[in-house]
Amino acid sequence: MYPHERSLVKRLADQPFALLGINSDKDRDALKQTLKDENITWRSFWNGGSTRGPISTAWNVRAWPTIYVIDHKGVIRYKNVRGVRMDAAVDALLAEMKAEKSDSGQ
Amino acid sequence: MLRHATVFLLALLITPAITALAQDKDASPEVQYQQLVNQFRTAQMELSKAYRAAKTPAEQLALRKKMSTIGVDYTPQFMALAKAHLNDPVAVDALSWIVTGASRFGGKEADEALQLLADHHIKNEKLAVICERLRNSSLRGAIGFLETVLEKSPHHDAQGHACYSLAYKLKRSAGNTPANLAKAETLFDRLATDFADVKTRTSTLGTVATSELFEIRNLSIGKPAPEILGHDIDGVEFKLSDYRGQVVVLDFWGHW
Repeated sequence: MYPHERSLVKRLADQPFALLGINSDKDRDALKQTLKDENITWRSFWNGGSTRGPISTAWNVRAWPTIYVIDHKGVIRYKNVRGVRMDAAVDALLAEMKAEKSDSGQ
Repeated sequence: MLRHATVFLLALLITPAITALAQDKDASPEVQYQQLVNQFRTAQMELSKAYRAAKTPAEQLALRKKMSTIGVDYTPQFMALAKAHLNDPVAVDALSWIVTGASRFGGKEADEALQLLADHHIKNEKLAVICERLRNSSLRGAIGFLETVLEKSPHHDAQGHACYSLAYKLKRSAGNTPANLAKAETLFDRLATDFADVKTRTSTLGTVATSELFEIRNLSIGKPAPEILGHDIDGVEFKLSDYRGQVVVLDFWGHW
């Protein structure tokens, strides 16, 4: 997971794109070390130290990892895409966003 | 302590061997069933003993393969017992063994076992457990079986678990068959209305239904993502909508 996510974040560093985690680890200090060791630069919500934390519960997450891809208007567009399918989903939404902007003359 | 453990293990190994030798067709169906289960367990234990003693990776691999398929050798015997006493309650145990084992070691008899359970034992309350276990099963006959239990079982728990597993399977298949999502929603609605009191290992079907309905209604493709308000790892407050105007990948993850 991490190598793919690192390369996605790096490739799209200058694009209107963000990878956001919702992390369900138990130990916050251990997690901070993991972020350092694995060079994880993207931001994560803290899920209260449990897989049954408030955010994963509200989103009915029962499997890890669970992925949602959200467009620039805040609409859910893809679920559980990984690897090249995640790349393709993000690229399609970025292209769609650019096409809309040029249509409206911005 | 260690000596006790050894004696216990020996007892486990020896007892089934004796009962296996003593098996005969005149024994009651219940005893025959128990003998089969014991034989299977003995075979499993002997394999795992051999596995622990194995010297080469190739030997280990062969034994591991054998361990994962050992149940297939026993399935025909459980099926024969069930068919010989089709209307006896022991048939339910023998057929359940085949169905629940199928998730571990496969077995072509499992769909037939489901059909026999539906045809001959639809009123048995043990079907609740089978329905629960079928939730993650890929058996072809699972959906038909669950529909039959939901419609015809006189037991509230069995109907509830059938309803949940059916809804769950339909929701899971909605990626390939989008029309199934609406069917799943209808069933989760029914779960919330009719079976909310039925217990699962960790909660109730009512609680499950509420979460599933929320997901279908608010977290499906095309729906606006619900707001997330929280703190990052350093304790700084932020929210999902801070990222409006950007494409966002939300990743529920953990380092484990």
